[in-house]
Order: sequence, then C-alpha cells, then structure tokens
Amino acid sequence: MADPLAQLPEAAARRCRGFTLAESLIAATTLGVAVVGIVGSLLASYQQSRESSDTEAAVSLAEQLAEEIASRPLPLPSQRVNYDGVGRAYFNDVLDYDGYSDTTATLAQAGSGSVEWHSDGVFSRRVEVRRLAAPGGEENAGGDFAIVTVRVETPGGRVISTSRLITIVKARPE
Amino acid sequence: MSRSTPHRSAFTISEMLMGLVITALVGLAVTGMTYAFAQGWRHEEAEQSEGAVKRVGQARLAGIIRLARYIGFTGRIQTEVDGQCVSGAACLMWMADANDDGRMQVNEIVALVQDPSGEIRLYQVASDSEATLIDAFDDDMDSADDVLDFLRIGGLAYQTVCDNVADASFTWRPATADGVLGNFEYVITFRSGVTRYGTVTRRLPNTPPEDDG
Repeated sequence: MADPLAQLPEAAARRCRGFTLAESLIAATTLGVAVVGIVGSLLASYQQSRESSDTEAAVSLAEQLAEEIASRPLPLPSQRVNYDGVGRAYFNDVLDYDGYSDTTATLAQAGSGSVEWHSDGVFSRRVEVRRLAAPGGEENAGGDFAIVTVRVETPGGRVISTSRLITIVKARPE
Repeated sequence: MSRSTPHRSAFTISEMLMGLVITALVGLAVTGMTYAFAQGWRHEEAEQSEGAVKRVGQARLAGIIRLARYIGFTGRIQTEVDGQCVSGAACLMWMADANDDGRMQVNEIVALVQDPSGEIRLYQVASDSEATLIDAFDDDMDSADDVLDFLRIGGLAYQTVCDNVADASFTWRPATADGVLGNFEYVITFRSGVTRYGTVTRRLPNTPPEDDG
C-alpha cells in the first residue's frame, strides 16, 4: 500500500507526521528528571525538618538525664551504698547510673510515674560514667571527678551526646 | 498564470481540544506542585517556629524554677470552666523575701498553672495591687487548695510561660538525707503532639520558712 503522506506536498507531509520514538523518549526522560528533581528536593526538605526536630528532642532528653544525674552525690569508693530496687528511682549516687539505658517507648520519671512520649519514632538513651583522677585526666576508680556522658539515639539513627563533669563535695579544710 | 500561495491551515477542532486538554493537565500539575511546595514550606516554617516556642518555653520554665527559694505544692488542681471540671498542672513557689523578714508574703509567691486555654501561666500579685498589703500567706503551700486560694486573691496578674500546651505535669522531689538534691521534673505535651521532659536541680530547704500561721 502506498504511503499517503508521499502524495502530499513536502510541507504538509512534515506537519502531519507524528513524533518519533526518540523525540518521545527524550520528552519523557526530561519530564522524569524534572519530577524526580522536584520530588527529591521536597523529600530532602522534609527530612531535614524532621532531623532538626528529632535533634532538638534528643538534646532535651540528654539534658534531662544529665541534670538528674548531677543532682546525685559522687561518693568516695568506701562510702558507696548499693541500691536496692529496680529503676533509677533507687539510684543513690552518680555511679549507679553507669550503663543505665532507657527508651521513650517506656520512659519512666525519676521518682514515680511514666512519661507518655508522643513521637513518630523511639529515642534511646545510654549513660556512661567514668571516674577520673583529674578533669581531663586518666581513669581512676578512686578519683575525685567523674565524667557523665549521656548518648541519645534519634529514630533516624543520629547520636547526640552531652557530658558533665562532677566532683566529690568535700568539707573545706580548716 | 496562476501564482502559488503558501499553504496555511488553522488547527482542526480535535487538535484544539487536545491542546486544551494537555494545557489543562499541565496547568493542574504545575498548580498541584506549587501547592505542595507551599504546604511543605508552611509546614516547615510552622515546625521551626513551634520548635522555637518550645525551646523558649522550656528555658523560661527552668529559669523560674531556678529563681525559687522554696517550692511548695506540685501536682494537679481541678478548676471549673464553663460548668465542666478541668484538671491541670500547678506549682506554688516562694520566689523572694522582698522585705527580708524571713517569711512568705503573698506578693512574694507565684503560681505556675496549666490553664485550660493551652498556656502555662505564671500568676503573681500585681505590684500595684492592694493584695500586697495582706501581711502574710499563712500557709505552708503544700496542697492543691492552697493554689486555688492563691488564685482567688484579687489583683493577680499573669504572664505566659509556655504556649500551645495540651497537657503538663510538675513534680518536685525534695532533697534527701543521703545527699540527693531537690529535683523539679516537668513533662509538657504540646498540641502538636510533641513531648518535652525536663529536670531542674535545686538546693532548696525542704520545709517552708517561718510563716504567720
């Protein structure tokens, strides 16, 4: 069968021809790249906003625990008393917090009661206490100083940590 | 002799319709995308400003607790709003001994109260109020009734400490004999559903100063 376009004048035939496969593919690719770019930037913006609010919550959680630990005394090794009970409500001193961990899924208050934490994900906290001979010095089980580090992991896996230096309170020499 | 004219033809109706449909679809897509962008930016901006409000609120709350000289009642109080019983967090504090008499006067006391309107408010006697003339707040400030009595005093003024609060709780655990300092714990749930939990450590007396009681 003869090509009907061949019977038309050249200009008319050019106007009636459809898009070629290559043209269609180029158009589709260009559109796809544009959409991916726009959606990607939207997602990145949302992700950043989420990370920022998670970081803020993590800092707040870390500060809460650090402040609570700082309210406990740092005793001399000979004066330590073992705590009897489950949970940090029974902790007597700063060193009792070493290795303590909790999550916002079951977050307890220091005294009694629990915190109903509303969030999309779960934050977890972990405490490390290192006893030091001097600030910035080497670890020493009988030292007068302790560095308390609270690490909080956000639902996105980011870790925020805060540290506090705590000292033994001694009576001033006469 | 005939002269050939350049071939000109208008769009056909189907081409016109197809063009219109495609233009409408593209227009809709662009509008949708612009709307989505605007929503995203608005959401982000709202979240940022809410974050700032939360930070400032927490800092103000902690600042007030750090200034207290004695913390009395902490817990929940029941108030009536539009005939309905509403419960909210409250705390009574002695802030300063303005006249150096070692006693708590009503103008030296403040109440932190979670208001049903969604604010945590700091109530205190307005400096020009006649209520400051009341000699002493003759109570040890250890019950919810004391907060309600304080809130009934005429001439109270308040400032907003924290906004957009859905729920709150205040707990004061006094210092213990084995060297643990006093802990003021607060949990605030904002209307957005975000929770903030904080502790403020204080070295404060466990018993109220001498009162007129």
